[in-house]
Amino acid sequence: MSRRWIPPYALDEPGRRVLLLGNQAIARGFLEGGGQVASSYPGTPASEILETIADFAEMYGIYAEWADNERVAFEVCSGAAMCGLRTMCSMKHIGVNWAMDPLMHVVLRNPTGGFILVSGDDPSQHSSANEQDNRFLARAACIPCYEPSDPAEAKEMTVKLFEISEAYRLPVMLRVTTRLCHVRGDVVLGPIRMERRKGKMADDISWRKTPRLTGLERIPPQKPLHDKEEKLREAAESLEWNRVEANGGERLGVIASGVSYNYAREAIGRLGLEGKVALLKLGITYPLPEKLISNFLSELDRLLVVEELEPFVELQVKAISKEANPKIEIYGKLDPARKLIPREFELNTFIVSNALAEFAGVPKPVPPGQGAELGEVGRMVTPRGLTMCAGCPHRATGYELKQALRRLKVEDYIIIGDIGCYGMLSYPPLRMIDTYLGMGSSVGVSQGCARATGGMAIGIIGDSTFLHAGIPGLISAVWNNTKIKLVICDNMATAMTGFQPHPGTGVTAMRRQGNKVEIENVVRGIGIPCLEIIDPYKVSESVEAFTRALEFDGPAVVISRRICATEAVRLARRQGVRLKPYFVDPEKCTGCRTCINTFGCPALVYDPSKSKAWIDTTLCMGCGVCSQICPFQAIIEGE
Amino acid sequence: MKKMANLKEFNLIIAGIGGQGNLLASEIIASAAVREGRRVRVGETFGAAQRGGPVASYIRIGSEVYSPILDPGRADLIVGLEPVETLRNTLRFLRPGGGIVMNTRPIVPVEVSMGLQKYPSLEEILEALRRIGAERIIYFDATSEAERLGMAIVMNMIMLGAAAGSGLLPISTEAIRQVITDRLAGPLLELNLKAFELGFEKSRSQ
Ligand code: SF4
Ligand code: SF4
Repeated sequence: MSRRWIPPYALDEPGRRVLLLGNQAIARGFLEGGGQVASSYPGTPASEILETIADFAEMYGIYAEWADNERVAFEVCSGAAMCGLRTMCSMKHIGVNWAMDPLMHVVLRNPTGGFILVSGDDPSQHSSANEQDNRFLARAACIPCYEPSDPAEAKEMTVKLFEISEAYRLPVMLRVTTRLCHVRGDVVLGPIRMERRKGKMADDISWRKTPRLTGLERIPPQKPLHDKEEKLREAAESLEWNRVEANGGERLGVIASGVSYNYAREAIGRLGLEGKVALLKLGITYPLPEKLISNFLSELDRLLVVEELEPFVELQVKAISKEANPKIEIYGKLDPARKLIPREFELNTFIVSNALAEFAGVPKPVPPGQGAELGEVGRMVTPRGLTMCAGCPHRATGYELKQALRRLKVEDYIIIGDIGCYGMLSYPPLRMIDTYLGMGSSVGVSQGCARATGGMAIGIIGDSTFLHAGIPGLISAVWNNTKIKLVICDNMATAMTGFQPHPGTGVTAMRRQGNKVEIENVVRGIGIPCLEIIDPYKVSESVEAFTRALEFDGPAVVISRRICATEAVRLARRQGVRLKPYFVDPEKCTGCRTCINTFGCPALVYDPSKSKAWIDTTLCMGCGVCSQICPFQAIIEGE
Repeated sequence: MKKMANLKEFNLIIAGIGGQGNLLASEIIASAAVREGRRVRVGETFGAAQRGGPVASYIRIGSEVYSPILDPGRADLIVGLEPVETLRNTLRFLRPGGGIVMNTRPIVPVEVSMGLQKYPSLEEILEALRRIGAERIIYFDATSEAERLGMAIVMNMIMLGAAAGSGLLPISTEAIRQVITDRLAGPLLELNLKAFELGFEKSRSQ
């Protein structure tokens, strides 16, 4: 018998060196730091933090859950922290926008349990709709902001941040980015803190009194918060995450924070500038250790600030330099004449090496093998856009909606997408999403479009996104009788972020059975006058249903329900079921490309040498939608 | 195998498209390196992992490695699970004289099937790889080999075996085998090890 494999992040083997993903390292830090409650809503790049905690939660007697949005997750953690437990709330950067409201209040409630808010920022927008620098949100909320440089430091910080948070009775922000979350590195495991506290609701704790007192006695509630900030600034001076790593002989210095530190460090080595350029590594970017920075600045004539996205550190350092060294020249993003670090996209060693070379007046590195004669090779490299998986139910849903619009000859329409895999309906060949804003916005934006134009406004939203943020918008549409059409693509998972369960599945993060929230019950409960439920793999029935919904004179909802194709493949594999791919009968195929040009499943390939389509059986998962689309019945089910 | 006591920097890319098992392959190599006491950084982008977009893992091993991503022209070895993805990464990342291990089975982008883009032939790709400066190129249709083993998804293990068999990895093949054995169990382990050995032999004989 083979024993069950225990993933390295769950091992109780202090001292062992293992490979961990940044997100797993943070989760491990939660375990080593005695965290007891974790709540989150999935969002790349932060999703694996809660997944990992949920994975070992049972084993170590702690609690982890997915909430239906970040605001709720943050409120759950706030409650737990106010009752004295160590807690962590992790989310992607724009999730923090949702949590902002309770965050601005919990900072005034003096929670007794250590409380870490993890913000997963996404420079370069690997899987996000914007580049947002959440360090400014930490500052807005008056909470300290910590930026680890690698998985090992992320774990170490997490453990320590529980203590810091408890000492100041204030939530803290662990600000990470994709290149921390999704980086694997070697990490040494520490001991697991086994203390399990019992939460208290005692009357003497100050958060229960605070709201009762403030309204009556007009205590300025922000004052204690501002006092904490001052003390945290002091404390930042002595934390080892801020350190001068190298002294420079030439009065040149670099300040680098978070992941950027790695690029700066490699760049100094690569340009042979060791001993010439001083390096200050910052692991705390708010509030900054002013004395440490003042001392550093006083030794320099010129400074380069290396950080991703906004000039957050640079702004503060500029202010410090007024006193510490007014003559210093600061290079980074702010001063138009000294702009060396881009404000958009993530950095890398190459970008930083170039900036540093210019800053230090040494030759810029030339990447080998990048000669101009390779331009021709470059043109040969076929671009590859993102596309939905073969068999994705969203592709079928989009196709059917388009057919219904065509059948009804609707010309004046706009389609507002939302946050999820179905957003890829905007790519060829379907190209049918006109725009989108944030989570759940399709429901509200489509109402504005409908009111403004009187035309047909259609929202497309996923199951998880609808439950996250779509419900209030739909209530408004019903209330005001705004005649939007809303397509809820229910693929029974939060697919885009890694197939997490959601309220509609009834399964919890710790893989227990909770209660199932049926989307149609929610929609019916709101009182929507027209509701259609379809299986997108049945093409003609679905086109009929869409036609009825589009024709309906009032707000209408179509729930298109079919499990995510990737999940279906995985399930089949687990159950030992063989999915039967489809085949193109070369006798019948006329090479018209209807299947490819109107539907475009990646498993459908066109062979120009034979002028016929064929199906890549390594991709086809047997949904059979294309066989209902081919006008010549040339696509047939396999054996 | 290049065994280096004092390895400063070795850069490997595993390139493919979402769903090809890229991440597992990179995790195995990196775990093997940690097992051998190396400092390791692996940078990956997960966003498109399930959706047929290009996915690359940058595996960096050595005492002077900090950055989790790679700069242009610094890869020592590229393991390509798909031909055009191999070319895309080679063009940007391979250092002159670096090595390539490539699966020759294409996954054709929708735009190509629509007739909007062209997919280069294998000959064109090989010629281009050489022009960029690849010294050693090992290539074969690993997907067909995997299909013969009865499961197309073990292609990644075949390619992992091929990388080990190329002699271009600074990690012992034994450490890689050990990690696979730790990670998987039962018939799945057997199949994956078989795939690994198959790739190893294929690569050796080229
Ligand atoms: S992961 Fe699922 S929902 Fe997302 S594109 Fe693939 S099949 Fe569709
Ligand atoms: S399979 Fe059918 S739709 Fe596709 S190219 Fe052939 S005839 Fe046209």
